[in-house]
Amino acid sequence: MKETCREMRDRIADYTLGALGERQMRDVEAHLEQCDACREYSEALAAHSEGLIALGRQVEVDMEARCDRVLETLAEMPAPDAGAGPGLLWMGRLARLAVAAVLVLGVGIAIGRLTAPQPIDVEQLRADLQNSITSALKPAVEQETLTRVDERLLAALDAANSELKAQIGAQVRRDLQAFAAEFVTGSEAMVDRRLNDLVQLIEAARLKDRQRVARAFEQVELNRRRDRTEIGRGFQSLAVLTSEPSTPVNN
Amino acid sequence: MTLKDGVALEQRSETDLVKAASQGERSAYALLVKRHYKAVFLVCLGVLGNTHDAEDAAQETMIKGFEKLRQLRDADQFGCWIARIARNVSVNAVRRQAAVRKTLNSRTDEPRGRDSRNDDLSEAVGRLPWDLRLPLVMYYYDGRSVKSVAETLDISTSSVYLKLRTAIQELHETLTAAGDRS
Repeated sequence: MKETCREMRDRIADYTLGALGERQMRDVEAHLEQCDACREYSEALAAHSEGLIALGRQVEVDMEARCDRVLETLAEMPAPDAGAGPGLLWMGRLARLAVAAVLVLGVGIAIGRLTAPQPIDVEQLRADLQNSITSALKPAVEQETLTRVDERLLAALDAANSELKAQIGAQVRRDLQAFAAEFVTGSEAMVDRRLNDLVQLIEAARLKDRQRVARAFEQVELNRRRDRTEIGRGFQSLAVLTSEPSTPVNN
Repeated sequence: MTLKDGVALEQRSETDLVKAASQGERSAYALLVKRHYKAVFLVCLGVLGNTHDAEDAAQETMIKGFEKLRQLRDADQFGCWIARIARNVSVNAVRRQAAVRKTLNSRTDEPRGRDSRNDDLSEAVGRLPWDLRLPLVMYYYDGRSVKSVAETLDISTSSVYLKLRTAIQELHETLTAAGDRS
């Protein structure tokens, strides 16, 4: 929106309200002819004005019935107290001063008489005071009580909320600890089982190795003995072959 | 009261009616109520923003007027006098409603009792602050002149124009924003 248009908006509103002089109206109209946005704004405000007038007509539809209801209520009302009438209000200042002086004197005399020593009805006075205090304080006390009840309820709700949060937190912590403990215990048992299995496997392997080594030694021993026997026989054959014919061979 | 008396009463001046009513003549006050009810109701509507509360406030105003008519010094000024009572009664009602809302921690400011046939414009009027809505309602709904509004509200005509301008511009903004959302 141009700066000119921004400034023009207030004048367009005044134009809609018919608050401008002739020259200002002409200025606004000249601007509206050139500016589409401002013309649109002006048309919108004019439409709102017409809408408001139409709303006024809608509100007026039930006006007579509303007025009749007020008249019915007024007809049922008692006549207002005949206090100081318009004659008294429209009196001259001097007359009003005179009336005021008479009233002050009268009130003074009345107070003097009323305050003169006389038996006091204490019970009546107490009842009157009680009624007066009750009627004066009851609404305020009720309001105060409601406010305090609200505050206490809110405080209790907050406290219960905090307690519930704490309980839930503690329960979660306990559950986590139990879970961790079970997990650790289970892990240890499993590790023990696996280690035992491993030890047994190692023992079995060692046993097999020993048996295999023993068999190997036995085989070596057998081979050695066979070899010795073979060698012995070889030496005998050699001796037979290499010995003199005259010399008998003694085994 | 005969028809002839009724016609005679209708023809009496406002000053005569006020004087007669202040001396206890109920028919004279009834005629004053008929003459001024619409203006009083619209002042209440202008402040309160909905017809239901405005009707209650207008009734309270007319009862107060009946009770205090003897205090009116210038009988010619009955119209302005009763309209000012209407404004005070309505403003007090607004304050009571605000206090109740504050007590209940309710944040809703939605005017209640609006007629269903009323449209977005009516809702936008209901959302205006009451000191802008009052002159707007008096000017458009009641068809009053700016001078008459100014006299009743006891402010200058330029203040009335300023309030009317602000009110109609705020209405436009509200309606444009509502249109953009929908």
